[in-house]
Amino acid sequence: MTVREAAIATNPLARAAELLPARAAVAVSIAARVLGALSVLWYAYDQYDAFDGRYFPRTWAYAVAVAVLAVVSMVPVRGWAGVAASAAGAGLLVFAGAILAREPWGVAALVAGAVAWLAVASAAYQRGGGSPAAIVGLFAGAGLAFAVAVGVALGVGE
Amino acid sequence: MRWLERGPWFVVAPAVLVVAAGVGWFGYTFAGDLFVQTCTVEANLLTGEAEASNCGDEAAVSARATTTATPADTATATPAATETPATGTPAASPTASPTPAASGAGVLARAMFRDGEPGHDGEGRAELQRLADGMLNLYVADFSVTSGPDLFVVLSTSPDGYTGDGVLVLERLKANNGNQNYAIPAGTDLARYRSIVIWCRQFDVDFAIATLEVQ
Repeated sequence: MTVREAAIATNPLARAAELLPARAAVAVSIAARVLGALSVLWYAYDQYDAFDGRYFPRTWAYAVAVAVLAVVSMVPVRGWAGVAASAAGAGLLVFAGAILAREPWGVAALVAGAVAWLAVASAAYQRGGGSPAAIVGLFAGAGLAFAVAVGVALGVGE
Repeated sequence: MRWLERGPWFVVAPAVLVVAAGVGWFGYTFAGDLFVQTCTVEANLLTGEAEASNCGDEAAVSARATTTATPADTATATPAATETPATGTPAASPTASPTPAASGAGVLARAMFRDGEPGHDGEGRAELQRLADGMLNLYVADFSVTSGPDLFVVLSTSPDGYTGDGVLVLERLKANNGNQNYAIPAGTDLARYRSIVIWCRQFDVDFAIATLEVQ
């Protein structure tokens, strides 16, 4: 029995990671990040629409910054850094979604980010030992979400 | 990162989940108010009219309104205000009995909201009113203020915002947009107060200030 087979035999998370082929997991992570970015942008548009076209620059600035960073995280990079970057994009959506979770589109971004992160972690595991990079990326995404929130709050009036 | 690779899955996975949930809760609680818009539209208690608000169409308002009070609802509400005396003694609720039904119903003072500290914007008009039943009321209309955490409506003895001394904290801000009423405790000496402030208690920041002009 190989180390990998032994891990799958004893670790339910390893078995779960094998449920989706690595290429499919990568595709799911990209699709979920696209949906998460759109959810955040829709959050800002929904606010604009609900208040009869009143423009809230702070919300737009945050939504656009999060969406752009989520898209940037899809740039293909090999190895540990690639896994960490993808996971950071997913983590960014998770924690930006948590910040925006008082409205449904914020919750949608959170869910999309969580799905994207699980897919990133699955692909990373199947391609060999990238799980720590996925975990580090997740919390780097949290740092990004809070840094952008603070920067926008301090730099953009409403 | 080796500890992550070597740690047993049943330790690492729950630890990641718990830390992530904690960080997410922190963001929701402390940063969530930065990007959310809320609206409360109430009738002007002095005129009884529901005036147009800045909240958008009716559907949008109903989706986001936290309360829509009728004049009767608010006129009978118990004031939630606490006063911070200039002497630094503990906060006390005013205990004066309600003013008897007065014939002097009307607007006692008006003000326009302006921006507070940098990055905190406010606009709209405010009226200090004496209602037909003698109760005192603060009415704000076409009101909008930068969203933020832990916001309160305060009467300040300074014309330029929250001073900490002798302020009267009316109640928590109902929403950061709309037309709203705030009951002022009966017996309050309005002559002491020079401004209305939307004040963030958590960070002690003035979000919007309206300097009163006595009628």
